Amino acid sequence: MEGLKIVVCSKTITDPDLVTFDVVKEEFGAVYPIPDPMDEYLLEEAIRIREKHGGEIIVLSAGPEEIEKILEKTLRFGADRAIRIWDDGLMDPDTWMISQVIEKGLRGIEFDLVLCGSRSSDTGSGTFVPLLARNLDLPCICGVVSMEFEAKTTLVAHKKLERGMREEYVLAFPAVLGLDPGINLPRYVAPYSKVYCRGMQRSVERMTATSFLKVLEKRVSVGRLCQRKPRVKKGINTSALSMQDRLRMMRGELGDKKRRFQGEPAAVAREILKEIKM
Amino acid sequence: MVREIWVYLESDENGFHESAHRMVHEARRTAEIVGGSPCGFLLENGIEWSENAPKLEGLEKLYVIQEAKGFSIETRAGVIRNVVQKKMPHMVLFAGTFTGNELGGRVAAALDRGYISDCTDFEMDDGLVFARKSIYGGKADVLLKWETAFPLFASIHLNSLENISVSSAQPPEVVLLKKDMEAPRAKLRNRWRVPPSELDLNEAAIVIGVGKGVPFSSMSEIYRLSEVLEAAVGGTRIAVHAGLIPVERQIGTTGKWLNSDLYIALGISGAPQHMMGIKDVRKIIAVNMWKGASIFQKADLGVVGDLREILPELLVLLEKGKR
Ligand SMILES: Cc1cc2nc3c(=O)[nH]c(=O)nc-3n(C[C@H](O)[C@H](O)[C@H](O)COP(=O)(O)OP(=O)(O)OC[C@H]3O[C@@H](n4cnc5c(N)ncnc54)[C@H](O)[C@@H]3O)c2cc1C
Ligand SMILES: Nc1ncnc2c1ncn2[C@@H]1O[C@H](COP(=O)(O)O)[C@@H](O)[C@H]1O
Repeated sequence: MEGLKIVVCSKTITDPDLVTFDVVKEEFGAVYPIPDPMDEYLLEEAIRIREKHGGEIIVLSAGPEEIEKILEKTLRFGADRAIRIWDDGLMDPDTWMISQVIEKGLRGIEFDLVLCGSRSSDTGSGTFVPLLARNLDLPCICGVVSMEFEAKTTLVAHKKLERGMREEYVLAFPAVLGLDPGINLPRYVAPYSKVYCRGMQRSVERMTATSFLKVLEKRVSVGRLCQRKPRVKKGINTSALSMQDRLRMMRGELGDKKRRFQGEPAAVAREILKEIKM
Repeated sequence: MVREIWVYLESDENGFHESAHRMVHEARRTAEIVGGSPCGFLLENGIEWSENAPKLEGLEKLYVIQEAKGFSIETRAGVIRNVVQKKMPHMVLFAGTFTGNELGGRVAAALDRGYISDCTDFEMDDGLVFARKSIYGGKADVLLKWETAFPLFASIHLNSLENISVSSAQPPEVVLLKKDMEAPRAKLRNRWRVPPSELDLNEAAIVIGVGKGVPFSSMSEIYRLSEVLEAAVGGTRIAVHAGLIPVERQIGTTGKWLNSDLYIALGISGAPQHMMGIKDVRKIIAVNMWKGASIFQKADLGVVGDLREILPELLVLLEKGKR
């Protein structure tokens, strides 16, 4: 089990904190690309594996030229190679098409493990892992909270399920893994440290996926963007609502009956208990 | 032919999951919007579904895939795929839990269908079904549509699921199905439940949030509280800095995002960076000494008082209730 080749699938997202939505034109304002903060732990996990077993870390990302600046960061944070792959004919690809682009990239390199996030922070389809695994005809595990290597090509992965349930899986690699954000705490890489400087000397490689896409149709397409509208829960009689309540309903605030309580500590405790049990 | 709307009812040896009951309502609701007959399906994995079936009011049919105990998620997805392929319902819906989201993704991928996860609603436009989903951290919604043939696959965001039951309805007609399965690629070797103290913040049903207002001396009481309530403990960045909780337990923009049923905020002011991490929580109880604290604007129950006095009283009540 020496020298594992680990591919980290990393996504450049639109900073959700900075982007603004114009509700009249129903479009987003200026977008600021950032590396998905949810992906930091992917690189961290890859680095931990490399520290323990040796090997190479390749960051693979599908996107237009603009993302190269962002990908350079992953080199400074410890990746050995960073590859951008794209097909300039792609317009608004859905996750299925992205999974094909990444498949194409992976078919051009050798790898043992592919690490992916469980859900991206901007559009968050959360479906990338099963799609990629199916394209490559490889096994996959999602929600991985820890992993160990057992033998030459065997991996033991712990998977997180609901409310504290865990499952242990044994699988041979190559494999595709979807990591849970709780798997590690990404380290801090100081600017101008050794790792950082080494990364500064490297540059992002390019690959093209042109004429690879098997099916050019999307599986899911965007109808339109619109103002946020949380679900109106049943049991609210909308015709009897005042104008103010209607506005609150549109903001999804109706039905939350906010209560305030003040009193003796014992009375307060009873009130809290009542609310917990409700 | 009747168009069937299928919802997956998640269960384990201990019975149906909370999400299963909510999915029953979701089936009815979606059937109303899209048109069709609300149906449920489940894997027979050790629970007494026949006793519970009458409780699944409002479903017209209940498909039971027999003898499916102790299966890995991969095997379950394979079994579901085969059944769906045979019956070809109009829609197949999952709850937006870890398991539901993943099962949906796997089954849809195996059948080459589009899959939309964490929808908040469905809408009809010109005879087509659109799924609404929140993007960019809730800045806007997007209406998505499937470009693939039926069935349409989706999962429903947990915050959109409602717990509404109709008691007058007939119990569903039960249809037993044989399973059809292949050998899995990844072997399931072990299954267990971690103790509440080891629960991750994003999986606990109840989370206790610790802020700057909590003195060190109260931390032991907070951990006792977390034991009785089977809750996870997290907190604000200031609480991390003060050494009250470890950094991986920070909640907020630069920490973890919760998805719990209940958040108990103790001595927390309610800074926007913290509130971002708890926006998906279904109920908030806040204790703060200062009545102007902004956390009260979002709290379902806001208590103005000193947590040093309230905590001991609450523990007495809870521990008495346990015995
Ligand atoms: C870029 C950036 C990112 C950040 N990210 C995060 C993040 O991810 N998560 C996060 O939490 N913060 C984050 N912060 C910090 C955030 O802005 C606030 O400073 C922090 O959340 C406040 O923590 P607090 O509520 O514990 O403390 P305080 O604001 O000091 O509030 C303490 C509260 O306790 C109350 N209190 C005091 N004593 C008692 C008592 N005995 N009984 C009852 N109540 C009492 C007080 O009335 C007060 O309201 C970030 C800040 C920045 C600039
Ligand atoms: N354009 C992309 N390039 C590389 N990896 C991606 C891309 N989009 C998604 N991924 C991977 O898929 C995971 C889940 O994304 P999503 O399905 O969009 O929620 C991310 O955390 C990434 O690991």
